[in-house]
Amino acid sequence: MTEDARTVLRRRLGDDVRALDGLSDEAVAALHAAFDDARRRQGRALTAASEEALGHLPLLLRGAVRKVLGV
Amino acid sequence: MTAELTKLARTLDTTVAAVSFAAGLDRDDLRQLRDRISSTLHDEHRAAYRGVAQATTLMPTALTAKVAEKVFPPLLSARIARELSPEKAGELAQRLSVDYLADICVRIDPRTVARLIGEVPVGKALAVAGELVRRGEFLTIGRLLDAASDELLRQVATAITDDEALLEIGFYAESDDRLSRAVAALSPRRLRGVVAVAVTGPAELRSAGLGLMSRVDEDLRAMLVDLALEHDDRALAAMVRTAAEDGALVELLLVASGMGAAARSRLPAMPALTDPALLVDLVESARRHDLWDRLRPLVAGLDPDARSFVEARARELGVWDRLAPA
Repeated sequence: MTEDARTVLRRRLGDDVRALDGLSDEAVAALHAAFDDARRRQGRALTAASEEALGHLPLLLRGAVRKVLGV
Repeated sequence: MTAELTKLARTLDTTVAAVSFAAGLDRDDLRQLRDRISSTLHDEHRAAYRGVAQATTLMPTALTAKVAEKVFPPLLSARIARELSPEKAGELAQRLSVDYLADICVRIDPRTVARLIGEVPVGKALAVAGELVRRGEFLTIGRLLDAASDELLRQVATAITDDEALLEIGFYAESDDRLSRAVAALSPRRLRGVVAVAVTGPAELRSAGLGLMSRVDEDLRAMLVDLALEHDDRALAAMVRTAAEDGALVELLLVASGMGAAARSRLPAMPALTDPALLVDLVESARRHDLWDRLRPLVAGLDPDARSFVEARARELGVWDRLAPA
């Protein structure tokens, strides 16, 4: 499980990230969890921001703009 | 180190306590990790914002600015900015309100700042910096200054008249070189004020001051240390205690080695700096970071008892030959 976290982070952040060599298994697991949480929070914030922007557009345009924004 | 953990926490949108797992990493490794996380997060969903950015090229800039500020939350505009040409971004920045631009700055990808900041009119950039200071967004300003031209850096440093704010911004500055340039732009009177705030202020400002003094170039450091030494021993002892409590011993070594010979003669009168437990920790720090040249003059300035103590400890560790006076 912890080994997986290190592998996943290397794939996402790059093979040459030195911190991934310096951190213990527990610390890497904590980093992995924090990174995943950040991605989820960011995704939610971006979706909410896009919805807020769409709310200002005339109804007829919203579908087309949704497509562009992918929301 | 505290600054780097705070920046990592901000990048991960969490608390410093939640990233305490990274406390043992050195500054460069922490910074590389943060940069990669920031880039990875900012690269997600990029295609969507490229389309919106393209649409802005079809509208007159004045209209785009008006629509953007009314319709797009700053988070979206920060994403869209990355996909704009620097020229278009500069034209838009000219027309957007200072409040809205400050909101964008807090959320924008640092790589985008580096690409666009040269196109933002200086007057607007100064106004935004002022607004960020008012909000206490020192971390954001520290990041922005890394990408600023020398001239903008000079103007921002002199335009911020609050000494505490300057110290806080310095604490979060990304590059030592940019920090040195910003500090060098200050008048001697401002420098004296900033150092006074660092030496006599609360613990967090003492930490920031120590960090700042340890990071600027050698000439500037010697100047700042001289200004710090204008304060009494009690104030300096508080600074040393803060360094010990923060584990900022490398910073303390760098700053203490910036003392001139006359200043070192005050050392025996500074019990905080000659405390045996601290000296042992300093020896360990010097060993770990190969800072013998920094520790040697300090040890030479100690009173005989303290020097004997350090010598005994250094001999136990087998490092006295690195520390003994030449």
